Amino acid sequence: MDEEVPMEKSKMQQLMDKILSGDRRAFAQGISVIEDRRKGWQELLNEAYKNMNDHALIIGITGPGGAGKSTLTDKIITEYRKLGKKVGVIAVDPSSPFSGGAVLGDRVRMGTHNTDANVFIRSLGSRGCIGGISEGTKRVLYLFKTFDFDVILVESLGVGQDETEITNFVDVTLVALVPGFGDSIQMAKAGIQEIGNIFIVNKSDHPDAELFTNQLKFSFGDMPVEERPPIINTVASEGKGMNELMGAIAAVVPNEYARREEKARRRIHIEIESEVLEKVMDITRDIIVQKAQIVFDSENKITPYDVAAEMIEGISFQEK
Amino acid sequence: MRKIRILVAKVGCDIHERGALTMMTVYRDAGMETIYTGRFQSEEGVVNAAINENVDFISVSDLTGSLVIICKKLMDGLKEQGAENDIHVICGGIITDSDREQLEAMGVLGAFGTGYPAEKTVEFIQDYMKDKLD
Repeated sequence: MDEEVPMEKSKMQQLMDKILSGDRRAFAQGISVIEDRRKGWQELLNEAYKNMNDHALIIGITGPGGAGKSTLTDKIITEYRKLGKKVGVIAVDPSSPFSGGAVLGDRVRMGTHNTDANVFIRSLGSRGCIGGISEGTKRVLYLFKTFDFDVILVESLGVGQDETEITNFVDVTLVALVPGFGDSIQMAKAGIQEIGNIFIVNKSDHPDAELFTNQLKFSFGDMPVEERPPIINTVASEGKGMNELMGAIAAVVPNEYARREEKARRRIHIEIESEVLEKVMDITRDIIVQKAQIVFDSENKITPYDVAAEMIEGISFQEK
Repeated sequence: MRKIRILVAKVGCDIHERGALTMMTVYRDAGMETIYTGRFQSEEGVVNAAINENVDFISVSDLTGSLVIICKKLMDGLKEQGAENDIHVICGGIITDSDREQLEAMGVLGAFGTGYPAEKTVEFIQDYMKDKLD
């Protein structure tokens, strides 16, 4: 960090200024500050929130592991680069619940973009969040919105069930599926159908692809025809179906842009809620451990519900 | 929480991937976040990836005896971007005694030849990062 700056600007403000001036290294360091919650991260997050812009189209890519999300992301980057767009990528992979470590392998599929200065790929570990979009990812996304990207791709950890939250943080949600991953019963389960603006059947050279695509189509059968999401068949590793996919994205963008305000409102709600809940969990963590021991030692004379009720009574909300 | 981040890199046309893949899982099990570049990368690409990922280490694996050439270019690349104090280079693979001297002279933090215990490499990294994690 440079020393010769006026005293009134804090370290984080200086970092933000650098990020806003397009400094890639400062941007990368800023992401770490927020992700690791290093000293001053809240200040940086606040700065990022104030300075973010609505310029970039944000695309979320989700789906089960092995569906080819990274390969699809790689090809989508290529397509946007052909159009001269500046692309930012957040690629989330699971962290080990045991060691806390992670192998972040999404980059392997995107190796061709390493030398392209107009592509910024950042890998994040899920760090304890299963499915959907982690706290860290959301926060990092705000920082991405301060950097002048034309397109931001968020490749999220796909579990395939109940990850509706991601839709509030992106403009367009792509759901990548592959033949051989469950049958029509999986399709009928709630969760995955609701979130996708576009469904991708990747590895469509697989023999079961046609059957799978049909099942997927049928699962939208109860929706009005004009509301059914497009289903695109791709073979991402060979780049097949990419034109159709890019066309489908372009087609849904106007509609989704119209929902930006609605999504922004929901985001604010979610953010306040999760900040508060996180704090509550922090405060109660140790007490819960003690209480759990009491319940256990009482040999079921005291129930967890008694204890919880007692704790809830102890919480007081001050209205201002 | 601050985690040690490591970019496992392979440069050039070396196909031998086992070492890189092994080190990836070893780093993971030691609680670090490992990012793999995949094979056939350029030095420039690896430096870019390291900066974008804001890693603490580049761990480059090579079994063609080209580590001196690769590391030289990596070090130069990092210096060019002003990142040489924040991103460190370690390497593993085929290393001769004269390689080791040259690597040390150019500021490569550690050179671990074939057969060197993976846990020792982890220890080396953790030891180095001990005071730097805040």
